[in-house]
Amino acid sequence: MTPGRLTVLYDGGCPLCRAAQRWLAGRAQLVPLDFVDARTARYPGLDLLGDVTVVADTGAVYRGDSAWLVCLWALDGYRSLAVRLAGPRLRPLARRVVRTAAALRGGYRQSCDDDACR
Amino acid sequence: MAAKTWMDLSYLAISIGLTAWVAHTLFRNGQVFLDDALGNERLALSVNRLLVVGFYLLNLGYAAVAIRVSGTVATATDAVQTLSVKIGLVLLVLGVVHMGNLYVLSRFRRRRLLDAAPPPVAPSLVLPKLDG
Repeated sequence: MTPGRLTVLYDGGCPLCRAAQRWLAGRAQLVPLDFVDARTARYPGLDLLGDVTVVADTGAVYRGDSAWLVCLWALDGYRSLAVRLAGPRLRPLARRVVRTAAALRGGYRQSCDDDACR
Repeated sequence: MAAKTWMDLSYLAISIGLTAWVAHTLFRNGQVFLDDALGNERLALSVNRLLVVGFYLLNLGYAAVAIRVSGTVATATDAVQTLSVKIGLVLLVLGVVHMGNLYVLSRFRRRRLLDAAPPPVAPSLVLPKLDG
């Protein structure tokens, strides 16, 4: 089922995530994106601060690189890129990039709790 | 009549015949492709007709402009060779226009398919019921 709306749960306590959120929010969207700070959201059974999470209105949950690819898919002009990155040749690269970003974020996050870096 | 007059007349007849034949073939076989590319049969039919008109204008216009020959055409051999080059050019122009058309329309088609495409990745999990 194709989602009609996506909720992006990002870690509002990390500058990298906020920058990513601002970038996403600034693009034209084919599928509307709602942004929710993961520190205030509650989805039982999901560790929201560990990884960027996208919850679709269909109930589908995307995490990590899948979440990024779904966000790109939702943007106008980035859908073909998302499809290409999700292909078997580029998917490992996408996964590595997202994992590297997540590692960087982990480093940042420790010094940025309680909105110290906002 | 001189060889050149025969050549010019044959040139016009072949160019017009070729253009009409290609336009007809494109119109008949392009409909399915256009339906798929544009996602709307009525719009596709209209675009198909307009493309055929553009196609006639472009090709007949080119054929008319290119009828002039710079050298002399004295013998039948000269006439056949010159005619061949001219018809070849008309065919190349037809080919380039046709390929350009296909490229543009296939971009439309790709865009339309992408607009309807589901997310390229499978969800990590599916929530039984959304809260909020």
